[in-house]
Amino acid sequence: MISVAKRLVLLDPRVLLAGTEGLSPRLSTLDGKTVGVIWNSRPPGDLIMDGIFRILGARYHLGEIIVRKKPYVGNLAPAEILDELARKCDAVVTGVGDCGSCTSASVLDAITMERRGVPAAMVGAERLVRTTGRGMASLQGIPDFPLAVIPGIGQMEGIREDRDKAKIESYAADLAPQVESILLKGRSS
Amino acid sequence: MNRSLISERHEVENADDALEYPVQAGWSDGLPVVPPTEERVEAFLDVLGLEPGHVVAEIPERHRSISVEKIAINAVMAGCRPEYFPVVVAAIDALGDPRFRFNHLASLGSPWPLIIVNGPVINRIGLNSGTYLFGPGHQANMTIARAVSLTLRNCVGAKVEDAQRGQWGNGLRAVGCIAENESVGWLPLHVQRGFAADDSTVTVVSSYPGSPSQIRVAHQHNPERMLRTVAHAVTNIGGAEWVRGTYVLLVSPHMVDTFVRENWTKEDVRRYMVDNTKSSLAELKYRGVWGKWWSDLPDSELEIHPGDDTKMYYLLKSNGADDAKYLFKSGAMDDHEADYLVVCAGGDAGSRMQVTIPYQAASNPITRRIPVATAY
Repeated sequence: MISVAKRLVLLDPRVLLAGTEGLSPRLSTLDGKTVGVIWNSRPPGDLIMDGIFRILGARYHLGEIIVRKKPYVGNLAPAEILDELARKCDAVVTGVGDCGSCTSASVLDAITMERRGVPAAMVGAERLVRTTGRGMASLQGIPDFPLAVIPGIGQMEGIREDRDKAKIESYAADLAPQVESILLKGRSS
Repeated sequence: MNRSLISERHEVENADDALEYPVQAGWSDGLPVVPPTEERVEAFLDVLGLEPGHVVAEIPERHRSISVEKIAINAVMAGCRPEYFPVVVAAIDALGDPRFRFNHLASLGSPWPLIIVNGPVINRIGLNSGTYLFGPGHQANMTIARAVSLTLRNCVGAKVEDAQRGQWGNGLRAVGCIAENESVGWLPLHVQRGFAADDSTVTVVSSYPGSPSQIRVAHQHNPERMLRTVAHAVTNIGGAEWVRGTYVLLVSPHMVDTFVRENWTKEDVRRYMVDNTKSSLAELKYRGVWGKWWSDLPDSELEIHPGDDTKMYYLLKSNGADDAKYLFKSGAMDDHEADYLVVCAGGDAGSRMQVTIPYQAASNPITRRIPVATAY
């Protein structure tokens, strides 16, 4: 006996975004620009950020660098920090992401600033940025969001200022040109 | 009721394809799912009488909101019965509370919420609070946990392709829904947390994989010795993870009988655990907890000195300025519950308690009233 196949309609269980977003306008130079830093509070991110701006400061006459530390590493920065930096800054750098929740949160900080019209560069460890960080950018509807990475590394726990100066400097040297490119050209290289 | 469902439709040829399509489309957790047809989804929405587009949770960290229709589709797929649906909705509602701090679920530590159900709904839908608590075996427990997992997977990126790259994953996604045994004479969890005894609630508590962990207790007639064994274990389970967060202590009903006989209330148990979960300075240094979050602590402070083995530090109570030397420095601590939630559950024979390990100092336990079903 031949059974009659019955066609069925299934409902999609996913929440999909309607479209993708672009980046805010890029800067033509970093000369004279006020740059905000949203440090995620994980050491040694503060030291790496210092290193990035030492290197960029040698190439440009940077304006004020305003560093703000997130009270909690794993979520979007609080409104006070985002509001202040959106008001005062020409560009923002977020990170340094080297864990799952902090990397995704720093990507979110950067994208939130972009949505407010401030060009933003997120920096982090490659193994986290390429996975969790990229996933967050896609979830936010900006799958190609440029991200700056320290090549080859994962979590940085245990790195200390006194013993690991050279390492911290080399990380900053990796990141500085990518940050520059992201803020000026909208791509990491 | 004929509502206008807003989700995209996918037509399949026959019943076999209806089983295969969701797996191929990446909607499933790896097991087959119940095909989410319009009729089934409608039946779930009828239970609460809400409009399909009604938003249950806003998750700004994922740039998305979760509607009751999407929860219904995922609950159908998970194998829930319609009468379980209000529990799933309440759990998703709880996970959208800003104090849950949703983004922490992206941690490499793979935290996931344990779901604890209280109140009359337990008996109404047949949730297990007893023997073989973490199953498998009970449809309500298994499918409610799965429905929450699928909803977060499909709606807010809780999968490795998106923003969940946890090192080990978390079995609570499959089995992490339990009920409390409320018949032992202790205050049920929801009453402790300010709800009425005849309210039904869900409480979500973010917990690391491998927890709850099982701890054997030998002195079954001595409350203090039982609890001290557990408290010592808690300080060791996480290794270098020294977490001032919310732990869930699961105590079996026959053990509760011992406590009740000796006049120990739930609150007495909680207080004892908070006061006795502590570690020596030597142990914290040995494990690398001491100085972990203070990158310029001098080497002399990291070395173990005579006397360090008797200098004790509390896990859940302040030790003053020294806190910053061994706890994650976090402003979230200002709005953060660090405690034990004591829950009666599990089989009524055996000599083990269980305890969950929380994620960092980030997430808070959230309790929500389960909405009343209009159709049951």
